[in-house]
Amino acid sequence: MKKYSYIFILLWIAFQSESQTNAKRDKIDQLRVTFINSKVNLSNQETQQFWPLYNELNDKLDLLKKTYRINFIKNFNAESLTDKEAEALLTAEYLLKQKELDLNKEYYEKYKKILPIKKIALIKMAENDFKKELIKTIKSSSPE
Amino acid sequence: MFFLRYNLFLYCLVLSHTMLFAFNKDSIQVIKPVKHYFKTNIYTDFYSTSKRNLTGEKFVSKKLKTYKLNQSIIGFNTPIYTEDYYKKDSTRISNIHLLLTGSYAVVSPIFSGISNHHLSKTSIGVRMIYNSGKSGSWFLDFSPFVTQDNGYNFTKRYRAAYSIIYNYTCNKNASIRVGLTRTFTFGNRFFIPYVGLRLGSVNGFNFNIQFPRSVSINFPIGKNVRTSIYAKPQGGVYSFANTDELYYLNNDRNINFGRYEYLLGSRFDFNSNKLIGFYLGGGISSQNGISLFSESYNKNNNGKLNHFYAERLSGALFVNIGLTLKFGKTKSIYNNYNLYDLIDLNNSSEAGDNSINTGNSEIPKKNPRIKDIKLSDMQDLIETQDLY
Repeated sequence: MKKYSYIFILLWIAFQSESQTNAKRDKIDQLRVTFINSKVNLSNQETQQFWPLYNELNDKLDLLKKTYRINFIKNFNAESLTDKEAEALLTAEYLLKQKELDLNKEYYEKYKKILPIKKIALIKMAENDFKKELIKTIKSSSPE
Repeated sequence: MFFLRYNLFLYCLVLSHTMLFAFNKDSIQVIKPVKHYFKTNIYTDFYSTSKRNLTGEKFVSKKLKTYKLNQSIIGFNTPIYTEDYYKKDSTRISNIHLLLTGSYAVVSPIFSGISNHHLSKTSIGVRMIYNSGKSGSWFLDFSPFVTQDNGYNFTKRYRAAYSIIYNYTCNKNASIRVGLTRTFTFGNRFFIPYVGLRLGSVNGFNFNIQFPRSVSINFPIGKNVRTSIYAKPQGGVYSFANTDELYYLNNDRNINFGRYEYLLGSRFDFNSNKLIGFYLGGGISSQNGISLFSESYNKNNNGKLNHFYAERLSGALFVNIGLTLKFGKTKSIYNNYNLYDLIDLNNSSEAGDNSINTGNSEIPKKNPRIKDIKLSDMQDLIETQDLY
């Protein structure tokens, strides 16, 4: 019985720590989606088509950023940075931005086939408003 | 998927040809894109009823004397194959999911008049789910299992339960299900229609009638708890060694034990995060019935089994405790109500026809609140210009 308790506790700790790493990003994604949903009124059919595409785009963007973060940000050491490393870092960042732009354009074309252009603009505006909300929250919660 | 991999490859290729040598690491670390929408789910469930007297006039009833039941289940389901397809101008995503399922259940009917029997049911099955990307989706579950009275090898018997269900998600607040299911839940072998209706959102308040599985009212309490008030049948048919000479005609060494109960209860699901869920339920186990079936008598019978002993029992209290671990990174499913329904269907159809529900902790909660978010969590989302 004691052995099982230890296994259970170890599993619990492992799961808790893994969950905390992803939980905050998941929470922000969830908040953003809820925020957009509350600002833009999508019909049933639009909902069924738009959200899978939107999720797919965000998964792809996430993957790009994670790849960049793991390979560059985590290796980045401001004090010992050589010229070559600095150039690599900047090139990677511009490549990332370009890739993000390409993906956003690709999905914009897809959105145009399923949503009126005004709704796409509203979604974009809601995304920006969400950022402002987040900034406000951080401002109000951080000490003066 | 191919394009994403190709893009990543190009991305890494460009980097490796230009500046890679500048780094200490030998190669670019590529993160594999997530494949599946369903998490791997490992669960354990324990169910127990209180003791009752058997009051029948038959010889078997007098011999068995009292009845109490303990049931322990450990099981899993895991996605093994997922494929996305684009439809209609590459704007509609449909997908196929193949899952491997398995479970091991030990049912211990405790009769004070005879020795204890521990009846096991081991199942390995497959489940195929097709999401059309429109409103309709299909759910096919095939769950072969082997039953055995533990300690008596000669009682090993092979059976199968299966379901074919069509799910139609009308909108986020309603879905309809129709299908067919071959089940042993009612303590006998049945091939019956499946009819379901959900009113209310999956992750909010809803009324859910899923015949023959359950009727429930589900609602969240606070941030991490979901409650349900439900009525559902539970049961099965198990191999039972005839070591106590409960059946003395035809020299059957193995007889089959059937049990069913209708549970009226409430359940609390605690999900502090998406990975671990714990549930606690209890209530009244009413309309209980037990039966014993002769194997030789039912030899050429492919339909409902004929019993040589059956008895209706008085109700009893029951407790139900379960723990679920759901892990593995999955693709985002926010507001994808088809997938919400399919995840719900997957979680409420456990392997081996055990009629347990492992809870929907992986479905995003309704109306989350902004709280405890730090700047570091959102640095990727914000450009300097956003701060002006």
